[in-house]
Amino acid sequence: MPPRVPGASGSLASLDTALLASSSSTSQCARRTFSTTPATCMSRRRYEMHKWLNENAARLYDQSSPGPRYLGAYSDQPFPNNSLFRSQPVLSDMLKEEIYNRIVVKGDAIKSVSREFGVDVRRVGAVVRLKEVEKRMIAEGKPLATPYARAINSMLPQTRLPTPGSDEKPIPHESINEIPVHRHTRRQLFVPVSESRHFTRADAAHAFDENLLPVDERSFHQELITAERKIVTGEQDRGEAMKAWELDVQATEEAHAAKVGEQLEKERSRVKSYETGRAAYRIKDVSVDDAGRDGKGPRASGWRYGAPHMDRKRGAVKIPTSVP
Amino acid sequence: MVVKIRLARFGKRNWPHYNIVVAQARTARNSKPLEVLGTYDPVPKADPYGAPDKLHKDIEMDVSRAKYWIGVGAQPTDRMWKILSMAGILPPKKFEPPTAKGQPPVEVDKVRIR
Repeated sequence: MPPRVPGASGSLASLDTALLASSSSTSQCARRTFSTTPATCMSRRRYEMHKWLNENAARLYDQSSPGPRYLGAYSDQPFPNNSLFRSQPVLSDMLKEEIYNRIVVKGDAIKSVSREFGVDVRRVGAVVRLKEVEKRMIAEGKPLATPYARAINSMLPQTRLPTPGSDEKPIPHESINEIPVHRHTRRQLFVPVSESRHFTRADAAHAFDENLLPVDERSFHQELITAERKIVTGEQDRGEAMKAWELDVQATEEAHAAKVGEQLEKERSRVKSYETGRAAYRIKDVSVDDAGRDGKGPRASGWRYGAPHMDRKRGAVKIPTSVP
Repeated sequence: MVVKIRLARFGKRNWPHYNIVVAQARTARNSKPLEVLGTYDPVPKADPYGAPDKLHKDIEMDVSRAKYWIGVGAQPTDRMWKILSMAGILPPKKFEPPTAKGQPPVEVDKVRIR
């Protein structure tokens, strides 16, 4: 079946000439001579759209400055009608590099770096790990997606490092004292307490669950909370409290690092490597006593006798939960 | 009956994994042994963040216990002898068949023909 042209009663050529003749006065309609749909002149809304575009085109399509060009007045509000949707700032690459240098090269405490730049402790850890990955990729000569990163960074607001040498204080990136809401604290609870009793946060935590720590102890910055409390009560002035806090945090983290290093060294000393021309053999010294009296101890080396494999059991999740 | 130090195959199809066991020689391969000394994973693998072409095989073994069993006369199988020699418990041993020695060249004046 030949293709049907809707509304074309005469030949296309005659239609074309008719249109040309009729639309000589209205220039907008005359342009669509190839179209077989009936020509409609520009509506008011369409006219207003073009008018708006002509007024704002210079600003919207201006490529001279970096950054996003949104319709509204704000650079962090992609949808002008939704004022609640704001782009969250990301750390600039220079700031990430500075955090990495402070922790890995200079050996500062993670908590003091977190306080100085106003970055969450977990985010500081993530920055250090990702910078490690980036540096390894550069060392291995792997290509980086730099243009992609630059494009994404140009579209988002960034928390930048203050210019080196100036007296500017770093702008805090986020709240460093945010505690994830614990599952046990999400229920409504009525605890009868006598009026004379001083009901503290520790009591509240205990009321929710016996093993739940109070908020101050669940915070990543519990030492900082203690230091601030000392300042408020007038026990210490700000300078000496902060100095003591810094030393305390540094000592704690160094002790932890030494402990982890010792454990790793102990693990390493148990393994003896034997090089062959092909794959090396790594012999790890274990103890048969880990098996216990019945030979079924959970830390014992080797496959269990008389215990079924649970890997085919229904509902067993095999997605790994940790990275090596 | 002889006590042997040998391997018992566990793991899966196409994925061998062995227990290093001390067992009576005549018992079945995967029967309950006298003692489990450790494991042997024969599949070579690379370190997660190391060079991908540098491979290793993992062995877990209670070295002092293995020494004890050798001391009381347990007999290792060939494969276990290799592993124990790598751990420094036994001297290394060659397992290839002996190379055939060729006949010495014939000395004409010593040949007697009757």
